[in-house]
Amino acid sequence: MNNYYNIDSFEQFLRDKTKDFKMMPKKRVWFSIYNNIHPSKSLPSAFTGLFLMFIFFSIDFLNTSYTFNPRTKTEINKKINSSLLFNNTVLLIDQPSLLLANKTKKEIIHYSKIKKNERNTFTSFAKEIKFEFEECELMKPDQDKIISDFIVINNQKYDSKNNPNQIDKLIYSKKSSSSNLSYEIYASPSLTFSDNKDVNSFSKNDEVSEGSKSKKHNFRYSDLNLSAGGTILYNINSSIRIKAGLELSYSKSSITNPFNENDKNQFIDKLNENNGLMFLSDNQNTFLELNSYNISIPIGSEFELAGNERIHWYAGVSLEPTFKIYDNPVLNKYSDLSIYDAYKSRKWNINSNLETFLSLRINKNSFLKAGPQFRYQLFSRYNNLINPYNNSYNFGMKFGISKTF
Amino acid sequence: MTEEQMLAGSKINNANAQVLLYNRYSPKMLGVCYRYAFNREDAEDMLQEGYIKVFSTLHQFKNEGSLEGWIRKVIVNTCINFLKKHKKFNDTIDISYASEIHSSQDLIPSIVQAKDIVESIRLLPIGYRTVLNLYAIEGYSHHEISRLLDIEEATSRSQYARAKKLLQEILIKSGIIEKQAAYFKKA
Repeated sequence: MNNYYNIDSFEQFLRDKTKDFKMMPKKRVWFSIYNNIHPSKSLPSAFTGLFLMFIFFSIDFLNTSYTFNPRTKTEINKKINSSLLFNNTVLLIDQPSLLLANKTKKEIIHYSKIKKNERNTFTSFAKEIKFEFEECELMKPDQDKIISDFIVINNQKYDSKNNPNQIDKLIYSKKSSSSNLSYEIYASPSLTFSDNKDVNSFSKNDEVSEGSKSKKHNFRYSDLNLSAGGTILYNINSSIRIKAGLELSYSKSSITNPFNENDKNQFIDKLNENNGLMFLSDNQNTFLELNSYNISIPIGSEFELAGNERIHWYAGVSLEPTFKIYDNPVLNKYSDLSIYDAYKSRKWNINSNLETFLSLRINKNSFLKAGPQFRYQLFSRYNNLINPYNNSYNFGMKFGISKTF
Repeated sequence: MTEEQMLAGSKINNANAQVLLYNRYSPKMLGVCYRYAFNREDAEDMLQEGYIKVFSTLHQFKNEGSLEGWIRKVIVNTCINFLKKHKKFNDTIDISYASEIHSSQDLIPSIVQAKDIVESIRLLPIGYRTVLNLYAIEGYSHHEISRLLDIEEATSRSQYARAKKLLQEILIKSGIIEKQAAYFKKA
């Protein structure tokens, strides 16, 4: 056997056998290279920025302070006015003192003695905030720090102990007139699917041979998408509002055998025609992987279906013109061949969006929102090349926080 | 897109052209890195460093020789620097592993053979393997290898002789050489 291993043939043997050895690198390798050679276009940083903004606003919402320590008449007046809007906050009056307390936390927000000669001044505070106060039943300040179960506002007596909703209603009805504008930030994980139609449903531009028309496509398309964004909402009336915003989304998806034989051959021919890549031969199975980053402008409206002061149920509809800012579709054969077809995919698309959600008040003007979302892509992924699959749709859950300006 | 367009686009930092260039050659270049690396993760790190160098020095490519050959040279240099930097050289070997290096049978035959050979090479101590890769496969002379690895030319020759002998033993033990008998007869 040693006769076979002279230097020339052994080296030639090694060269021949290792010449075409290939391995498919993981996707992270390209992203690392891309981020290095295009530092200014680092896409993950945009998403990280958005995520950090989401965290920042969330913390801002959750840290809204209820406490204050008014020192001057003007401050007291201002604080009384705003504190009336707080959830679970009641204004309780004792002739010689003024107390603002949080019923749930049983905390005094403000307490001040009013001297006899200052009663007129206090009455003027009351007039400024358009409430009139009458004598209330009193509790002792040192017992639970609540001095009255009753409050009289605008000549009407409310029982804050047995019927707190009356007071809430009054308080929130004041709030609703405060501003018609609000903003919202949200995140939405979703799963994408194709509609899996047969080739007869392809558009006119698709050149599908007769032989392939009876065949169903054999593929799966269900992968995770993540989107996040911000929206400005305007209340037209108490139950309808319109909205417009900006959204960034990332989707990673894969399709196994997206083409039947005829479609595949045409697809390969067209790719070869257009970009000169000859990597895929007729008898190869295909596996399409897509990674895309999109930016969209959702425009739509929301309708209140039901609700009370604390919780509302909405339905929403919107159209989302979407621009693909980065895409990396790759067709694989086994694990070592690939082609790239980005130039034939559509840059602009439009998603239609239907959603319904519950909106829960978390403080005086902030709401937590959650609900299912359905989106349908109105145009196919490809412009005029053979259509490897039809329009996609996805189901997701939307989570958000909104705040009135 | 032709190779000229792809090259021109990559030189002006066009992302589409760059991804095409990467997709076209990265599988083969990862195969090259894998022969030098200690494991797949290291190979991918080498590939990443190598391609960053490729894109940052692409303007130096003057269409003398093939683009693939130029990229391969940059990648090989990166692999060598990576090994030096991370001190990955060691001298241990156990050829009893040789009987376990057969690739899985679900791969196509030509890939199975190539993978067997590559895995056999990777059983060599990293010093032997590097010299063998450079001399037998990349076609570097011992003089070039001595400068690249900062060793004596004689050391390169002796390392290669030992590497070759050891690799032949591994190939025999794993049964790969028997399969290739017909090939060598022709040669």
